[in-house]
Amino acid sequence: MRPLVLAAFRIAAKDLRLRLRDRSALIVAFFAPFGIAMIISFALGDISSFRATFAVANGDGGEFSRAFVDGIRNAPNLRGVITLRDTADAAEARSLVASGSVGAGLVFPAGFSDDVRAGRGATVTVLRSADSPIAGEVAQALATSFAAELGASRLALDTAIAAGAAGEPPSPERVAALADAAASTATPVRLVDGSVGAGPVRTASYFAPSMAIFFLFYTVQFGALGVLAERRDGTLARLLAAPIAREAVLLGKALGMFVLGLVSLGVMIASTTALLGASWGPPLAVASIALATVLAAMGITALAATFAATEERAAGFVSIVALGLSLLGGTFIPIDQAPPIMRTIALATPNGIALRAFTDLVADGGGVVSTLPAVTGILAFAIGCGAVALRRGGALVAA
Amino acid sequence: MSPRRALLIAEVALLRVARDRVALFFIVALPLLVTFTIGFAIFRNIGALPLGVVEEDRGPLTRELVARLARSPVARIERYADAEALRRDVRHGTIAGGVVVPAGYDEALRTGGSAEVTFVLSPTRSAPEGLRPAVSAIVADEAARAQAAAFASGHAGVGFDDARGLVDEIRPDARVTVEPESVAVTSSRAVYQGFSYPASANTILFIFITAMAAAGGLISARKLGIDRRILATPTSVATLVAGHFVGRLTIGLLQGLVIVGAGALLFRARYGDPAGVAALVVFFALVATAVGIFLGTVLRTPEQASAIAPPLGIALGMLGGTMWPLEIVPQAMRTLGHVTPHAWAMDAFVALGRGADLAGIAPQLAVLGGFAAVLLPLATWRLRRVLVG
Repeated sequence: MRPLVLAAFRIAAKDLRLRLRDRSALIVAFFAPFGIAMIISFALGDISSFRATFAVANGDGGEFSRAFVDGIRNAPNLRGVITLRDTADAAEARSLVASGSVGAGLVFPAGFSDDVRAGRGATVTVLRSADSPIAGEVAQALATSFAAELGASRLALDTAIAAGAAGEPPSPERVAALADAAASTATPVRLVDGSVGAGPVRTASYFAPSMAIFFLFYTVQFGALGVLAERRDGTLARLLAAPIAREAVLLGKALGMFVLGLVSLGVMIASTTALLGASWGPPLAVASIALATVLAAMGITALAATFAATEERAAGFVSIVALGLSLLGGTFIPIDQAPPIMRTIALATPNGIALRAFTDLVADGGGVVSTLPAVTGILAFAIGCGAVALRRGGALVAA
Repeated sequence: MSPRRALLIAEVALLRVARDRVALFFIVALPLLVTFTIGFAIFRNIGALPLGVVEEDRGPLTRELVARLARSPVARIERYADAEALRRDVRHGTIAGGVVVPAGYDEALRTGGSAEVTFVLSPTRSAPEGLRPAVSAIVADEAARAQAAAFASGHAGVGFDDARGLVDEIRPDARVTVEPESVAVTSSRAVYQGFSYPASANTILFIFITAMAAAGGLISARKLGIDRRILATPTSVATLVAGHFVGRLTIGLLQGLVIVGAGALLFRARYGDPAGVAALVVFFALVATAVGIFLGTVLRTPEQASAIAPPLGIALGMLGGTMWPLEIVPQAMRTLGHVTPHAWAMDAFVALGRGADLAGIAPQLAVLGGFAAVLLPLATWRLRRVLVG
């Protein structure tokens, strides 16, 4: 048994040394995962970095339009997020929005406050551009809730008068006093946005694991491809002629790839944790999912490679499998937006299972125990595909 | 360079492709898979969306709020016992969104205190059109009516429930309305919704990733000595590169054609001016192929190609706005993103979707052409050095 393991280690070490020499190991294990992690964190890491400037064309100048503008300027949760820029008129606001200098625009027509006070209809116009749909969305939501508040004050006043609060018939002074009181009551209920997990969940926490798993297929394929390459080069025959067991060759190849895959995934986890300041979850649970996923990737790529005669075709098959599984598993198009049948299919892929296990861990916490079903599912792929690959591969190596 | 010989090399490459199941996968199956995945994901969001509701308060006002949500045409209510299960199902996509009504909701409405109703939406999905605004409108309206009743109750000395009855009788003569106006676009519908945006983003992403895969093939061919044998005949390096290029370019073009065509046929996606779309796909395929060929001449081993190509494809895709729109990233990242051909191609797609024609996207096409015009001669020079020395 020991000579077998020792031989396997030597073969693995040789493979890794070769990969280090052509620097592909460094790229795959460090630069690629770290680079991708950096991009994700710079692009998506600071979700609160949404900022927008709105142009305000206040043709009114009355108390209500001023209340809206001041409200935005003074709102603590909007400070630093929304900047307001006063414009002379609606035309200037339109041109600023059209040119992209501002994200959206708000137009208060002349007489706005008078109309509101008198209970006539009034309209706020929100200028939106297709270039900044999110800014437009935010501006419209702010204007809508402002309009709703105005309406609410109005309704409160009318209800109070109808209930006799201003006397029967209503006296102007008491109506005026009630109007002031109504205008200063705050809405009792606010709609706030909540997280989809126990803690905050970010888009970044979806992309980091999904990309890491995608690369894994390409990272670990060289165990299997290596066998084909060595067969072509003739070094395989020489290896087999040496006094080591056939199994040692396969084991050695697998070991090398296992190490590379694990390091690659590990670097991705470590760098996103450091750059995003977010944890992937309890280390043991994360490690168990990671380990299982690496093994599954190895099994799948090995199986794909056994269907090919040459290294090039094997690489092609691996690519097909990687892209196909990733698409089905929700790597590129978040599968939570898809119909139930597709979500079920996603959970039939090892990468889909791993992705959900990782995101559940981040969102809801958990531990080794809670991730056990997922890990088992992933390992099933690893063992199943690996076993078939070994049987087919054994024949290849013997040939 | 001999055009006839280049075409011959290309023809051989094409014949290999036609018989090659792997290449056929990339040209036909992959784009179709992408198209269907996007199509089903997008078009699921029509009709009433499942909305989870958790009632942590048992009062009549809470029940009224939920009843109103249930009546909304935009949502289909599903009741949940606890918020954790609700969040998990939103995250997994079982429901489109969730509403949590907190304990103390009734109390806040009656006495003029304050309460927060939570709306749960997954951060990875763009808000299903209309769900949040619809929920927000209902919550705001319920709040306004309760606020009015509480106010009247306080100032007129009537009971809260009596006051609420009064509210229902009041018809506000006029309301403050919000009017959205689209500036400088032909259609008011945002481009980012719908099928064509994710379809074009993924078209670009996958054409590029596939073209990257060409690098490994080129290196393998070189290692096998095929290229050297071709150069032993009176064929110039430029011809050789051109031949490889045309062969690979065809794959990229066919891919683009399948995705765009399938989207248009099956999901009635509208990308804009056909000439513009065709030109854009051609130019981007040119750039993608050029990058793949260039990589194939710069790298030494197939292992290197496999190590670099997928992450490079993904990284450029991310930077260029094909995995998430560049609108949501900091300005610096947006600028950096335009180092990639992807960003220029996405800009052109968006412009086409908004009604630009071929002339309108000429600047972006020029940039893409520029990328290819620089990379191809570089690849030729590089290959010459490697093969001939």
